Amino acid sequence: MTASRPFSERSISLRRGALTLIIAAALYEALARSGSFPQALTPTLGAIAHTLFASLADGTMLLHAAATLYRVLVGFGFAVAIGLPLGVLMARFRPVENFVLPLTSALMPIPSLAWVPVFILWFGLGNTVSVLIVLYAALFPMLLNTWSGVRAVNPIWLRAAGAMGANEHVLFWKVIIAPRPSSLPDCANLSCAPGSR
Amino acid sequence: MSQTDAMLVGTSAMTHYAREAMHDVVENFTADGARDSQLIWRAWRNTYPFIVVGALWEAVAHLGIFPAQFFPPLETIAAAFARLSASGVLPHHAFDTIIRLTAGFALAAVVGIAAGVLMGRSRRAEDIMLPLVSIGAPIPGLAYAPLFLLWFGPGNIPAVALVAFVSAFPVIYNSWTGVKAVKEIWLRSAQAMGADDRRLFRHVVLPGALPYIVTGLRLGLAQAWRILVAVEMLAAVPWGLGWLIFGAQEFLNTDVMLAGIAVIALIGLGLEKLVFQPLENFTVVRWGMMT
Repeated sequence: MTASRPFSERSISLRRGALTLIIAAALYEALARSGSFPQALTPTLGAIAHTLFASLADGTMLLHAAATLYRVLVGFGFAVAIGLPLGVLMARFRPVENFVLPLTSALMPIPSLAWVPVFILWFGLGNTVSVLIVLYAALFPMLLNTWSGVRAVNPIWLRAAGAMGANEHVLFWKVIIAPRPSSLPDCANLSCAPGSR
Repeated sequence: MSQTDAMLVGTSAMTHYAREAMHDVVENFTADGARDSQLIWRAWRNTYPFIVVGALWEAVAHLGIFPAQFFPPLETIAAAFARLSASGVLPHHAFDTIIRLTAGFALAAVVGIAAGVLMGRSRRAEDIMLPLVSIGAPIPGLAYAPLFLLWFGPGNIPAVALVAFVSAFPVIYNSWTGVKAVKEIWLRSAQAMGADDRRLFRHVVLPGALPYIVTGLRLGLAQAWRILVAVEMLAAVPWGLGWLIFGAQEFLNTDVMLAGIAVIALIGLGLEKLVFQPLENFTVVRWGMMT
């Protein structure tokens, strides 16, 4: 949207946006310095920046970030490894779809965090639980979007390729995955941003 | 026990194929009797995966691979469910959770749609609010939970406030996108035909943006639901399904926890099937705005 605007309008927008952020920061700073709330609950921006810098400098923040990233990547990796093939299978084979879809629609509305106490009982405290929770949260959107993406492949293409003698393998790589990554656009909005789960 | 389970699995798979063949036949006849059996077939198709998984669960639970306390058989979970329902504990937990969800989400919906529509209609509002929304949206809602608990103290207020805060983002974002997606030519032709601002909004902007707004509300409600169950575990509220599960962990009551999760699944499913699908059919589909 911004790209289509003329230059001067864009710079006005930028200036307004920057102004908003500055005003929001100033409001917070005033609130923090006014002393109407305990200093421990509303630290000043300077104190926050100082803590951030200190924890970055001594490496603790980086270690925490690395640990979080590791759990996210492992859980996400498992979700990809399960969700993508299963989603494709669901779209290609009716019995798989009939079996997985009802289970998915029952499990999906359960927030992954509701499983935390159960998983802690089952697997003990530690990385296993965090990885499983990430897996649970990431699996269903991946499964459903892959499923609908593969189903959105034009059936004419499949039949045409089949008529030209393509086997299931060629069909999969050359028609379903390659021509236009039709399982991608389903995921191009905010609903797939990392914060939304 | 496990032998009968295996048989049960076998027969369900067999009848499934038979039913599928029948389904194809049934689809060609739409007489009343055929429609009835189609209904039955659909009900069966949706339940048999649960029968299979339930049978597997039963087999694993009864084989004693895991301690029964941690992996209770279904009848124990059902008994816990019945016991808690009869004593009124489970309904009370569920009721409080739903009240919090409704309060938080209603707040998010009203504020979110208003803010999103304003952003879509006014360049100035867009410039001012978009930076805040784009910074706030990608932060996982639960990361705010400790902050909200510190600011508002434990109890209902931080739970509802966090639910509202977190679920407002998808509503704002989608309402904004929706209003932006209303075609310029529709606005101009309505104006040319003499529509004033109010009519323009009511009859052009709102219906045009509605598919996006409904999507935003749906995403927001899912978000609210996820955050609420988690924040109930942290906020030390006396009642609530999240708290029920969290509290049951202390006493290793896996059956109570799983019964609680089942109720959470039912409510979540109910929200989707009984609230959003009718809402969508009533507005978006009826107005022909479904893309």
